Amino acid sequence: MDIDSLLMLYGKDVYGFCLRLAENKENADDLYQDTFLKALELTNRIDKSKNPKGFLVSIAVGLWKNKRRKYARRKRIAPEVELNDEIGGSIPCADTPTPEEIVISRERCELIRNEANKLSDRLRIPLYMYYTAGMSVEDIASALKIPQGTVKSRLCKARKILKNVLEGYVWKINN
Amino acid sequence: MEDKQLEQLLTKALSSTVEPSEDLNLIIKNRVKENKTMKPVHKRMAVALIAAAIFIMSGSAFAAWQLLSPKQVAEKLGDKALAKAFDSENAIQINESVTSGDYTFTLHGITSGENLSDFKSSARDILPDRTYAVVSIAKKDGTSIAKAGSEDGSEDYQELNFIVSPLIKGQKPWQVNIFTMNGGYSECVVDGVIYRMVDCDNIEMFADRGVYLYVGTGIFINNQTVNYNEETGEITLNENSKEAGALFDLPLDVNKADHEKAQKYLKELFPESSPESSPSDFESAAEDSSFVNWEDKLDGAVVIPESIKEVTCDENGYAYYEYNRDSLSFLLDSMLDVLESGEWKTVRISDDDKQIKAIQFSKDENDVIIGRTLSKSK
Repeated sequence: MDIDSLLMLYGKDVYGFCLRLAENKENADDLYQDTFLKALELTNRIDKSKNPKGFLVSIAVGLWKNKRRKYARRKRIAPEVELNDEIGGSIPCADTPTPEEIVISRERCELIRNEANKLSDRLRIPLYMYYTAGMSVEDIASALKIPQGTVKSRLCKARKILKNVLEGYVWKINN
Repeated sequence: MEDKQLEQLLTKALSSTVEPSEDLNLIIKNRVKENKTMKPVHKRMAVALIAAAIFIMSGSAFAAWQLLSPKQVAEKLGDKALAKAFDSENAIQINESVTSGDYTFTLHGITSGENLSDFKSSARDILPDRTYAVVSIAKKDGTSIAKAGSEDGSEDYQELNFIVSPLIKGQKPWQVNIFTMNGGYSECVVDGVIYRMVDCDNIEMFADRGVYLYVGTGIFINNQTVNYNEETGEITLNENSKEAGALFDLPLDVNKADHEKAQKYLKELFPESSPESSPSDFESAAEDSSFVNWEDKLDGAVVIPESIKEVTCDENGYAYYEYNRDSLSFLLDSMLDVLESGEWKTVRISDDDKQIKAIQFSKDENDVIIGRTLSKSK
């Protein structure tokens, strides 16, 4: 598979995943770029994997784990545009009719994103793979080399945590 | 809240509609093209000769004389300035080989300094003081690293993955490595042998601590490939690793060590604490700044009964403990090593305006780890 096809078919999903993981655009751009360049070095494996997206995302995860200190350092040296400014507004969270509901919906989405970001990588990465990269449990298990049951359990834990947060939020606005 | 509603909310909140910019995709495409055009042409030489030499010479005397010198590798890669640097007195010629798995890894030489390379990169622009090392990777049986029958192995050998990374004694290898040290590499295949030129921030400042160079198959540095001794800071190869790998001690000039500079460098990587006790971000409590005596701070803290639970484990050797949104994961074996049967050890402590919370672990005689959370009002 050549670079044009890879970028066209999987660029958006992989980029979305990188954005969530890296938390800011500059780091996400780097991670995205490195992921594809690394993937191109491994062309044969991509073809053999029969799941190019899963393969690309697993490369992004590996690079992220090895590079996160570097990213963190750069972020401290040159604070960048907040991720929420970059993508928060573009996500169609507000499809409810009244202005108040729109605000609440937006707040809830932002709350989810913020809280998801606070999760440990063990929960956060499968969560983003599932909801952001649109991967199946089977593909996540294969990419992370863990049993499907473990993926389900981590997703379940992540959902539970986010559900608690959301319920707390609902209680807060109702009181 | 209904599960369906939650699912919809999560999908909405976490999905992304943002696409990578066209410029970004163009950069990737251009870099791919550059890599292809910059790849040196593979010259075919007498592989049989190399094979014979490998067969006769073993261990550290592996046919390094048959291989290219660091200067020649730099020339092959079109970096004349670096070739000159490798020819200078400042460069260290090493020529040490280790055979592991199907490969023989050779560390040829190393040199460090400012503006040594003709090539520009963002990393070199930011930190021009760099270290360059040349390694080669050859098949143990003397066959070409490229597929048999391939006239030019430049395409076929890319099926193989190798990682070359400096590692610093006293620093966790998965935290301080080629990736975090602004590393990069370029490589070529000559006579069936891969030559890789790696560069990263100058490592001479760590000369008094001990610096290694890891060369092996795979893509990343992790606890599957190397072990890290928390007490001594020693890094060793993981004997159970499925990857082939070699760990070279770099014979750096101790006089070039710069403790202050090294501390400052590490502090930038680990701003929250001193470098030697830097917290792990690999979610390993056992890797976390070891066990601190927090008993005084926890005096009067109460164990939350419902928090007492057995940790769960997965097949990768990771264990997991969670109570009330406070979770911790760690390498099971590392934790078992530091726990004493029947004794509670504090692995994490956190506080806010109102209370102090701590997570403690203990193990029983069957090596089952139990976690619990303590709380104390301020």
